[in-house]
Amino acid sequence: MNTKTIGKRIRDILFGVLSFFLALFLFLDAVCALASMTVLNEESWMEQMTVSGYYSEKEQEITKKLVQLGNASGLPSDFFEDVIDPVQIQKDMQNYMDSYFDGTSRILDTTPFQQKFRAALDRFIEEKNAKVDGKSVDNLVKQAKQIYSGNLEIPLFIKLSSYFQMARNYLPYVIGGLSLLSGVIILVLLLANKWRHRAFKYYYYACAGTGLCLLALSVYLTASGGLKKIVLESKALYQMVVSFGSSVTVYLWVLTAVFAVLALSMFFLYRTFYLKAAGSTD
Amino acid sequence: MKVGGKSFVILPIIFCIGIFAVLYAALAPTMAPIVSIAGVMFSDKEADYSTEYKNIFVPVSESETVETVTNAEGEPEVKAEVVQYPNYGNQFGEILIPDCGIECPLFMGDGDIALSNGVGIYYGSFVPGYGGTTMIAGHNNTFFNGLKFAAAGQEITIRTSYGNYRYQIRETAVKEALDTTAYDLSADYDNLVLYTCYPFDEIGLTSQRFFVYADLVEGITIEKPEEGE
Repeated sequence: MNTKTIGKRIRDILFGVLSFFLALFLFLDAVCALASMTVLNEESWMEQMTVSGYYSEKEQEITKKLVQLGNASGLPSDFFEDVIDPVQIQKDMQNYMDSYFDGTSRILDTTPFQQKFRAALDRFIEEKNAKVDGKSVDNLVKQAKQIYSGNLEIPLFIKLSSYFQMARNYLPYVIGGLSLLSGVIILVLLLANKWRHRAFKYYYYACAGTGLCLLALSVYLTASGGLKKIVLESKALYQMVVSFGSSVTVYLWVLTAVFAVLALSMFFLYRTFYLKAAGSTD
Repeated sequence: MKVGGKSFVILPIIFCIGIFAVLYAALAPTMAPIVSIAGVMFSDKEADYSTEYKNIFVPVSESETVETVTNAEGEPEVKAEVVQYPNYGNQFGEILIPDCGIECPLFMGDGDIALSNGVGIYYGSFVPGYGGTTMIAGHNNTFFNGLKFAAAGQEITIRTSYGNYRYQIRETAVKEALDTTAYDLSADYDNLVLYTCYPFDEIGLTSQRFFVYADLVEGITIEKPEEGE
C-alpha cells in the first residue's frame, strides 16, 4: 500500500471521527435546546397547566380534601363552595412558579386563601351561633392552609430545586459551547477538504446520525406511551405531566424531521458537488 | 454515475449506536441511581383516579347459614374458605345502631373514600369474628353523628357476607385523641370500639374523641389457620 493510500485512509478516519463528534454535539445541542424550551421554561409550564385543565381539576381536588376536613370539623360540604377560587389558584401557582424559576423562594404564599377561609368561617360561626373553641378553630385553619399549599406545591420541586437552578444557569453556556464546537468542526471539515463534496459527505453522516438518535428517542417515547404510567397522587398534576410529555414527544419528532431534512440537503449538496467535481476531472 | 454507497446507510447507524454508547458510558455511573429511584415512580398500568369503591358485601339473612366447621372445643366456626377478606377501601358490610339512628356502609380502612361514604375499620384492628378488637371510625357530623345518643345497653349489629354480629354497648367515654390507652388492640376476644370527634357539634379540629365500647353477644367466629400453616 503506498503512502498516498495510507494518508487517504488516515484522513478518512480522522474526518470520520470528527463527523462522529459533530453528530454527538448536534444531538446534545438539540436535547439541551429542547430542555431549555420545555422543562426549564416557565412559560411552557404555565401553558401546559392551561392546556391540561390543571386549575379546574385542582379546584375540585382541593375542594374535595377540604370537604373531608369539614366532615371532621362540623362544617357542611356547601361551606366550601365559595371558599375555593380557581382564579386565586391560578394566581398563586403563577407566583409559586415565578419565585421557583427566579430561584428566590419556593414556599407557596397562602395568605389570600387563609384570609378568605377565615372570613367565611367567622361568618358561618356567627350565622349558626355555633359552639367554638379558639384552639380547635386555629387547628382547623392551619390544617386547611396545609391542604391548600400541599395540593398546589409540586412534589419533589423543593428537593430538585438546586439541580434545577444549576441546569437553568449553566445550560445556555453548554448550548453555546456545543454550538461553538460544532461550528469549529464544520469549519475544519470544510477547509480541510479541497473537494467540497467530501465535506458535505461528512456533514450528511453527522446530520443523519443525529436524526437517527432523535428518531430512536421519539419512537421509544411514543411506543412506551410517554409518562402515562407515572404514579402521582394528584389527577391534575398527572394530566399536566402527561400533556407535557406528549408535547415534548411532538417536539422530538419535529427535531427528527428537521435533521432528516438537513441530512437530505447535505446529501443533495454532496451529490451536486460530487457530480461537478467528477465532471471537471473528465 | 452512481453516487453514494453503503456507507451512506451504515455509517449514520454506527454513529447513532456510538452516540448512545458514549452517553451511556459517560452518564451511567451518576444517572443509574437516579434512574432506579425514578423507576419507582412508574407502575405497570396507567393511573386510575376513579373514586368508585369496590363493594363485596352480600347480606346474609338471619335464616341463612354459611358453611361452618367444628373447632377443637366443639364449637362451630365459619369455614375460612368462604370468608372473602376485604382489601383496603372495600365496602364489606354495614353497621346498624337503631337507638342512635345509625345505618351505614362499613369499609375496610379509614381513608377518605371510606369516611366519605360510610364508616371504616382502622386497618390495624380486626374484622368482626376474628377474635380481636374491631375499631371503627366515622365523622361526627355525618355517619357517626348519632353516636351522641349512645348509651350502655344499646345494641349494635354488624352485617358482613360471612355472618351477622350483635354487640351490646358496655360504656362510652371521652378521651384525648392521642391517648393510646383508650383502646386495646391486643385483646384476644371479640370486642368493638367505635370512635369519632368530640364535641359533636363544635366547629374546628378538636383534640378529643368520643369512644363507644361494646361486647360481642352473638356471632360466629371465623376459622383461623393452625399455627405452622
